[in-house]
Amino acid sequence: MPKGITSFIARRLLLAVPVFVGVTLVTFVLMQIVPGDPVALLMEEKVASVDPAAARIMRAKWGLDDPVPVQYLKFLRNAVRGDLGISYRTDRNVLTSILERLPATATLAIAALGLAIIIGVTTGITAALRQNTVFDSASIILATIGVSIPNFWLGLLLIYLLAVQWRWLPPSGYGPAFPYLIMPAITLGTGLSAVIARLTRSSMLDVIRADYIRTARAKGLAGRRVFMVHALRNAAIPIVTVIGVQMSGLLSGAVITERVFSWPGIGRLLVDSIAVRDLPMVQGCVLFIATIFIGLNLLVDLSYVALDPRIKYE
Amino acid sequence: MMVQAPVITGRRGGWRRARKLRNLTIGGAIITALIGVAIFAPWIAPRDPIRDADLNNYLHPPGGPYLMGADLFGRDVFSRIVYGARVSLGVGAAVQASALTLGITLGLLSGFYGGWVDNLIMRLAEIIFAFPGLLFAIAIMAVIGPSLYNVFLALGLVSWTALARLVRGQVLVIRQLEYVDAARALGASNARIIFRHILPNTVAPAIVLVTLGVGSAILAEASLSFLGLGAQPPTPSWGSMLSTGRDYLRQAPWLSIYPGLAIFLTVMGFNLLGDGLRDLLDPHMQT
Repeated sequence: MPKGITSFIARRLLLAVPVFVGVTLVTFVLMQIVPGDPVALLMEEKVASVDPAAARIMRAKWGLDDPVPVQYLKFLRNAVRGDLGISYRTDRNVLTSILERLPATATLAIAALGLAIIIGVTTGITAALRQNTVFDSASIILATIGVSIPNFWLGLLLIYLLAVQWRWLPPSGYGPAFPYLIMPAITLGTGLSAVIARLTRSSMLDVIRADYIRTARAKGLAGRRVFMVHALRNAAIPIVTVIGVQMSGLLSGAVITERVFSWPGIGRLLVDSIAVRDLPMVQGCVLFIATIFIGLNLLVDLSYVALDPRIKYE
Repeated sequence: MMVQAPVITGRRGGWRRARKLRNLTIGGAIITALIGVAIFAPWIAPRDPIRDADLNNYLHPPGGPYLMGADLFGRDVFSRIVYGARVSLGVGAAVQASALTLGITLGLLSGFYGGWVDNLIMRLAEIIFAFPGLLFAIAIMAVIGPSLYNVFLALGLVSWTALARLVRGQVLVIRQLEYVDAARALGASNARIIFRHILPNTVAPAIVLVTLGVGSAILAEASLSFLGLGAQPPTPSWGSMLSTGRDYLRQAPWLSIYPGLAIFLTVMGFNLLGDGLRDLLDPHMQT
């Protein structure tokens, strides 16, 4: 591996650190804005009255009497160690509760992403190779619809048609069996597949007109080889970029999709915790999702190294 | 071969032009109709969206006096959707107005003064960018509580980053150009250079960003309201109508179908208009 790439990776990893610290700072500050004393709120919630003596003990225990900057540094130190605090509601460790929900969200996100890539790339390539045909026009129209359709509405339409009317699939819930995953994955993946299809199409159109493709054909390479080795690999860079950009939509979309289908993931945990004002849980979920997002963006950036040796890592 | 080439280019060019106009026309028509509906809502809607409740018509299916059915308070879904256009367009326009103000101001400051100002503003934008889109707005809503005004605040705080980056980038390019040096040599003030020479160059890309941004803001408002974090009942917001509709999908699918259709058409209208404007104003960014 050339020296430039190693230092690029190291630098990219280092760049993620201040962003992470910034994210913890913003999450911490947000929770400071919440009106009212959290201990009093909690006591009113749990025992319907505030006992001043007990409140003092709680405040001391949670370090709420420390100056705010000290509280932040403790919060940051604990977050780095994976300690996101204790839920007001369940008295359980926040990170444990989040990690319990992680498999559900990960399953949903991976299924949606896989579906989006398969449908998006296939449609995009076919449309580009058959430019100006009926298939091409239809794919453009479908992509325009797919980009604009609100995922929560699509989810409700799918439930209405596939579960209520035709009874093909279970309407919602999280089962061990595959049928439960179909509608949520389509709901979350449709927007992304439309974006990927559009970009794959335009990116393939640019590539198949390039000189090196003509050269490859001229030297007698088989059509399939030209396509797979030369065209697709070069078209892949913008596609990977757009997948990276769309990670944001995928994670936000998961929060909504989980609400539509009562899918027991981190997004639903977040929304439920907001409804009952379980602030440590809200803070933990936000920080966790943002950290995952930073990590995914890092992966996308690093994948350029594998895809395009021409990029200069200065 | 030599004869064919220009023919293909000509056909493609014509096809592209047609597509360009098609996006602009369809998008423009949808948005014009929507603005018309919002302005003339009291004349279009047959009933009051909030007060005209009639429990005798609980979940009345579409038809008869109720074009799109009635909701669980016997209110007219069509009238609520018509008034909902005001909520959606209002939020979309207000969010983009604040994004425009914040984005242009911060982008100009960042690009023009550089140094620590630039560093501070761009790091802030980066941190906001490090949250997946809606998540930051959800976190803000969790803290300040659900209401339509708070939706505007949360989305306004999140939406300025793209414009700030755009303006900053333009400033960095333009301030190096000779005509800015010439203006400075003639004794032009910073303000004059900014307003006469730098801002006009950012207008075209900013129009595209703002048009697409209105659509995203409307979708974000609907999403937050759907999650119960946005507009609260009885406000006729399309997102909160859908949120209720979800619980009555079996008995009353019209509570979900029509508000969703309204959001979909609106967002598609702004997307088409934005794409059309981009193709028209900025030929380098064609998709």
